[in-house]
Amino acid sequence: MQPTRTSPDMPASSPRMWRRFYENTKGFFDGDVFYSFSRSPLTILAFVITMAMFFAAIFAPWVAPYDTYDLRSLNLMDAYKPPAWSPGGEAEYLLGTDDQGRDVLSAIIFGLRISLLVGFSGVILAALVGTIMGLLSGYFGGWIDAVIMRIADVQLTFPAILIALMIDGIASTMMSSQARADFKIYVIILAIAASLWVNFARTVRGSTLVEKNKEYVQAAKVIGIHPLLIMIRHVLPNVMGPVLVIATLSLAVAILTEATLSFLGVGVPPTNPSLGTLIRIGNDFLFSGEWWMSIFPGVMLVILVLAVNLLGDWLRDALNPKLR
Amino acid sequence: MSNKKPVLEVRNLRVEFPNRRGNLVAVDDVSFTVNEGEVLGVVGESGAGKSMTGSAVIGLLEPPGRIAGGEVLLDGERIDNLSPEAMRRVRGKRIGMVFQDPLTSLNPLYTVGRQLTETIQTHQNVSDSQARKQAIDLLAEVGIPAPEKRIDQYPHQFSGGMRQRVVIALALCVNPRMIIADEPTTALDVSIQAQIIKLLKRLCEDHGAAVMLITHDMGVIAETADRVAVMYAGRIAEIGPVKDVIKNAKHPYTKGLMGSIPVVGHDLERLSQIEGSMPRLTEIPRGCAFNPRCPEVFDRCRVERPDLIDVGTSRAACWLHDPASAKKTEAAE
Amino acid sequence: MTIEKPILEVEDLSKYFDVSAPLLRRLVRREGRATLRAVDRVKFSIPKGKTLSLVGESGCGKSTVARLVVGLYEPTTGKVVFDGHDMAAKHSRKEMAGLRRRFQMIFQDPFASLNPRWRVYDIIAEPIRAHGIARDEREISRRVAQNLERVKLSARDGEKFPHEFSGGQRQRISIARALASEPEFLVCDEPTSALDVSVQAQILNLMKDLQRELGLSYLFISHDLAVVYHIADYLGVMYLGRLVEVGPAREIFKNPQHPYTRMLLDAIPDLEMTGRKRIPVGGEVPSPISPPSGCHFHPRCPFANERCQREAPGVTTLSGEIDVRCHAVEEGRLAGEVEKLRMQSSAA
Repeated sequence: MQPTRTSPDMPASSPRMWRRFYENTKGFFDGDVFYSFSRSPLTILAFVITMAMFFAAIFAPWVAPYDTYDLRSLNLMDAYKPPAWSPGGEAEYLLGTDDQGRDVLSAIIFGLRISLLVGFSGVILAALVGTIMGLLSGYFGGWIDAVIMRIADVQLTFPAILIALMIDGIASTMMSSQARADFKIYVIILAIAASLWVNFARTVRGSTLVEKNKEYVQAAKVIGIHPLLIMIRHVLPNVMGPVLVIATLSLAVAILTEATLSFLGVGVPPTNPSLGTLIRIGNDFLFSGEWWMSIFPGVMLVILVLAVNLLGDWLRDALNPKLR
Repeated sequence: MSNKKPVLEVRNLRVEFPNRRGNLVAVDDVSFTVNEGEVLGVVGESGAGKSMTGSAVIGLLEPPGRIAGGEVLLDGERIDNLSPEAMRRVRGKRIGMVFQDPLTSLNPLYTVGRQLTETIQTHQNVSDSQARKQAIDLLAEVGIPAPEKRIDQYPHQFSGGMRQRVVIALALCVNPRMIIADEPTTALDVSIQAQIIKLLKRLCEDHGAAVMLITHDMGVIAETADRVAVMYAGRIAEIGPVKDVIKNAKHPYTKGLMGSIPVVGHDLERLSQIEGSMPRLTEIPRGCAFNPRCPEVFDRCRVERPDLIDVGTSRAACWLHDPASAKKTEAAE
Repeated sequence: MTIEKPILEVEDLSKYFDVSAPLLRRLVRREGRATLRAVDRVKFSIPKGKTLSLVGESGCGKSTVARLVVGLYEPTTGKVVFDGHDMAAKHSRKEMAGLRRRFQMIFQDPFASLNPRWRVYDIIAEPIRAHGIARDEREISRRVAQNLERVKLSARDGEKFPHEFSGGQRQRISIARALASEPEFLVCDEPTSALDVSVQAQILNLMKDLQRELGLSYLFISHDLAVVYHIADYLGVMYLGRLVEVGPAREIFKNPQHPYTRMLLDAIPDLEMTGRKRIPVGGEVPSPISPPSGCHFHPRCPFANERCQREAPGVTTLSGEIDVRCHAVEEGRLAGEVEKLRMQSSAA
């Protein structure tokens, strides 16, 4: 041991931290999860597609050929252009343009951004609430468990659409229409989270019931660790596996829910269109022959949801020791 | 011993588990025979390959495990290369099985009687009432009180010890040539354990079946077995009559194992212990697998792997007993 | 027992569990509430630096006693007195904290008793941090290393995860964690029953060495009488929640009194292959939810009479400081009847 003086804000474990990081990374690539990933071409494909979409969504202003938010760039003369390969199509607008003269490809990329943002936020919120509720419910049991689980049961009887309509309805009586438009995206996130947290809560509760009777939790009790700390430090890390799987599968559900809500008109406003909004707008022109406005966003949505679902399915199998 | 017919012969059995990092050899070059009316104990610590040997013999290796070499003969007939369907018939008709957890062998949805009579009727052409009578006799034979009443009960209505008796009755109802018992007493309380041991031994004598008893418990072996094979890291370290192996062990591993068992009446401050632990299948050392833990290790053990060598009535896989290395040990003494 | 000051005294200790069916089903079937008397008025004490072993078959309540002693369960009746402090009287966490660091527990399953997501270093450091034994990270790391070396592991093993160790090594880590708060008393719940015999020998030797070096006292729960013979100074035999015989271990092994103790001793496999005469064992442990009346052992006892079915036996203290709960012992008719039975079984 070198006689290095360590200050309180620079703990002695700092080099250990780096070594651990290195070992963890190495361990991951040696591990079974990575192995099963590398052996499944479909999963790799799904992963690549998902990552490409994430990339496009995050860097939309640089990836997209046009900025669809910039109203000055829109020219009504360019409206209703079919895809580039169709007669009358132009190479500038690969997937055609909509009724406002917006480039469909750019609209999809920006729409993807909103869809993923809403989906992710909804799932993270749901996972957070669900995990906390499940932990409390499973660990303490008794009346806490009874109350939380009854709330969950009631929650299950309301679909996300109903919740979104309800919140939207309440908001409409209380806010100006401008405030409502700004507020809408949060309404959707809230509605999605409200419909998804129950899955997390139930699964975490089940795992917690198993973990809390294991001897390492009892050992922590004998040492005299505070119950809340036992929950956070001991139980939580051991119930996170299923949470990850549900989160992935829920992401697909959340994106679909958002699209549904937007399609029905209670979703994000047309000024800030998501994939669902684009499909709705395009739907009006479907029968007049301008099919590209709704079909391309629709195909994009299908691919995204399929890819995320495939990833979720693989993750579930890879993390489940019984199926391995 | 020579006047009795061998029922089960295992020759140079090798079981492998192909895995992405290579081939794990779980059982390596294992040979033994079990004769009529004889109980062969197979003893070893976890990871020794004893259960794997049992599963290989009855063709119930879990994939990806497979028999990679050697032969298994039942009454002189090879059974290791049979189709799964033919093997299932052999298991049903000629080999009885008793496992650690009796619940896995019994169907919880059917009464004990139905399970017994069905098994009897698939192998014998008898009427329902005859089959039922046979089943009741069997239950009585394995020591279940009031068998005519209990035959119509479900497995969950039986206690652990009684369930294991039912499983034994189920194994017996086809009059098998061979019974394979894998840790049959491990899940039971000590007092029940003694009863089941006695039962197994008596049935083996009465039916003239050969029994392969797989266990980690030397006490059970001492009470039940005629001969015993001690396994270590996938191989047989020592095999011989139970009395010789227990009281006069030839292999340093067996010696260490026996010394590490506490015995009532032996006042010792410390138990003699074998340092270290059984190697994992991925890191079996060169030469004799036991050499890093062996107190009597010498140079040859580290390079050359010993085969079974005759030592008196038993056989041990240890260079100490090879005449060629005898000089060395003398010199050391 | 007139011995030096005990580290642990347990008096009249009971634990009843409510095992009733759900309310609705009870109403439909017109059943009452059901209680399981897992531990029923148990009394014993452990002198400083000694080992008391509790033995018995499944369902006898020995593990429940262990959990009562360390406070994982609240006793229904009776008290646990640790070094003169009544544990039930300490209500606040603060009051308990001072006592808690002085006793620890070792569990049976080496695979479940260590948090799989934690590194060994953090597992052993947890009690040190929790009890504020050391606050400086260097001092903590010194103590973790010291405890790992105490159990014959190396300080570098702290960086690994539990799954990288074998069962025996994990049990050593459990012991190191238990020792980290420098306790005087360890409750060991079947610490070797999940281990192979050669590993069991290593752990038993280690536990004896640690007892000698650190002056530890043990409450050692086991079902294996041979292990108990090796490690225990005092022995308690439990049957269906009751302590039927307790006293110095050597005395009981030499001269067992209670018929159940005799039966357990006779059930030990004869590894020496001496072929000693044994009274055959019969019957099974009944369900602890509806134990037999009177003396719980009477349906399996070859010496039971009508009184044994009717009333539960009280404690009879014999010479050699052995407490027995048996009518036959109390009435002094046991010795004669045992002899008679021996004669019969050897004649047959």
